Amino acid sequence: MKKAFELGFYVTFGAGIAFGISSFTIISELFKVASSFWLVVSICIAGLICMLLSSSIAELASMYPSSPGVRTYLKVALPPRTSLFLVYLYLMFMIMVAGIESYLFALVVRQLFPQLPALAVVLTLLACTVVVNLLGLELPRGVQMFTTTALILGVLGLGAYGAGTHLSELHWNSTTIMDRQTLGHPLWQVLGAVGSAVYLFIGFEWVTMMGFSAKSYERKIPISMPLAILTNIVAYCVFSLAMATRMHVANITVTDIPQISYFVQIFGARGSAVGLMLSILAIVSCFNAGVMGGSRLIHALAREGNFPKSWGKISLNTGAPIGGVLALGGLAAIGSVVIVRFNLAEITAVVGSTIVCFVYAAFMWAVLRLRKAQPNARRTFRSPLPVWLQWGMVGVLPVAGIGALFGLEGKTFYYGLATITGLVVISAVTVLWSTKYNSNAAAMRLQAKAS
Amino acid sequence: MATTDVSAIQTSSLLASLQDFQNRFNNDTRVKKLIKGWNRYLKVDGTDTGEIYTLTIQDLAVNKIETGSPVSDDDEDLISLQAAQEVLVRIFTGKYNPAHALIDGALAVFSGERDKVKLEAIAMIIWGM
Repeated sequence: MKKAFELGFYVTFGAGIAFGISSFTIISELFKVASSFWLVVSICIAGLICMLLSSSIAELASMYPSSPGVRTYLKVALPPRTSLFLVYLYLMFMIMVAGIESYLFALVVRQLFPQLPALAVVLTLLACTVVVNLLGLELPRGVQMFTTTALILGVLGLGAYGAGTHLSELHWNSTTIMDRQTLGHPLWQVLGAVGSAVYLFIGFEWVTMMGFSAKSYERKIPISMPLAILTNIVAYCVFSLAMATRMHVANITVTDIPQISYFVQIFGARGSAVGLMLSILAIVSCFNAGVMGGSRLIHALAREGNFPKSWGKISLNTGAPIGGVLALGGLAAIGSVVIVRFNLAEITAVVGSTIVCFVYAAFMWAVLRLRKAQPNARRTFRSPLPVWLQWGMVGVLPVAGIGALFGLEGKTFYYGLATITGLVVISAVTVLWSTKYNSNAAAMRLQAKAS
Repeated sequence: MATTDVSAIQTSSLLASLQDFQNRFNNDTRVKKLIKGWNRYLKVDGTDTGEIYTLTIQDLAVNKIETGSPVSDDDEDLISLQAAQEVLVRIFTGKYNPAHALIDGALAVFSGERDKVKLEAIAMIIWGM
């Protein structure tokens, strides 16, 4: 019973952290670049890529169980500046996700309470999450499992209920599937969609920090990641098909929260309330864990000396990483204001996908480098993927990430390009600053000792 | 490629370092404030030597240090630390920050996230890391 609970916890944690409100925004984005058939194919391919990737992450986790994943794996395997640069990009992605999720939550709330200002809802949500984390409150494992299960079953059930007898509306036949007039060649549709679809699974790897014991890293955690991804593939595909059967594509792509339009289509005005309930479940399972994870990453980086010392502060009453929580909350608030002000949810989600495609490629690269550098290190799990396939994915993932950027249309493409260029520059500058800050600190310590 | 040097180790057994830690822990009033209502078993496992000790933290103090593990691995109050013995000795004598050890991949901690931070906070108070 306990073993089943443990595996169930890992699967629901991985699936839940990946399933946010912004997943629906990405599905809306996918409808812009691919027909319903190729959209489903793209989601499956992206899921498959993440499943293959998960076996490499499981190998890293078996070498460094319970470590703060992204930081440790890249630190031990890659040159210091490269690893720090990728970690900063990943951290910025997390900050952007906090901004997007809170903004989308505000949009959903405003469907029911249009008089509420979006920014006020965003900041209230962020403030509540920060306070919960400052108080040192942790979501019990059972609650995490319940909210994710309810969310996935809800999406599956409501998707199947809506699609029901309308599947013929998909008009899938050789002519429509191979149609090149509306959205271009199917290959380009898939290429444009796969990179963005990777976003739908991001976060599954955070389960590697949650192992109950060293033994968990031998089988349970390696198995749990593909299971979580598979769960989400099914949920996303069913819901995408349901939207395709019940709504015109233009109505899906016109909004950042297409799930609300879908629920309104099925349930009438009460649909907004259904959407709000699902959004609350998504916020509980994804947002809070994300903020907690992000604050731990900031805390760890600050304790290493890469960020100001105050960001590594711990509450001596509750043991909560208050410096990291406040820093992440503050940065996420700034991110949300920008997203709300300029309506950047779609662009930031796609840019996030691009960033993570590069970071995921770095994970695969890390596995290959460690096998060479530390061939005899203890590995309680070894990825069964052939080496050529791992090298292939190191090349494919960045291409998919760049492909996602090219999926943006018209002006938004240039905004996306400007955003990612800005983030790369900020990361590079922060790496230089951190390196300088660290060496100064080390020099100061030496000086202090000498005196 | 861990960045912190763990090779230059003073002659000290794991048990001796744990006893030293026990003394510091029990005599620090700020630690007592931090661990109010926090009763845990701290299992310390030297992966290269097979030496295992369990510290019982109860009623604001480390009450005993036992050889082996008296509690099941499934116990929710169990915090399990695994590392090479040298690393553990350095951690429990205040020479290696446990947070750094975790990031370097030199230490594995199996517990809830809050317990990890709590342990770090204890190290911070005792050794001012």
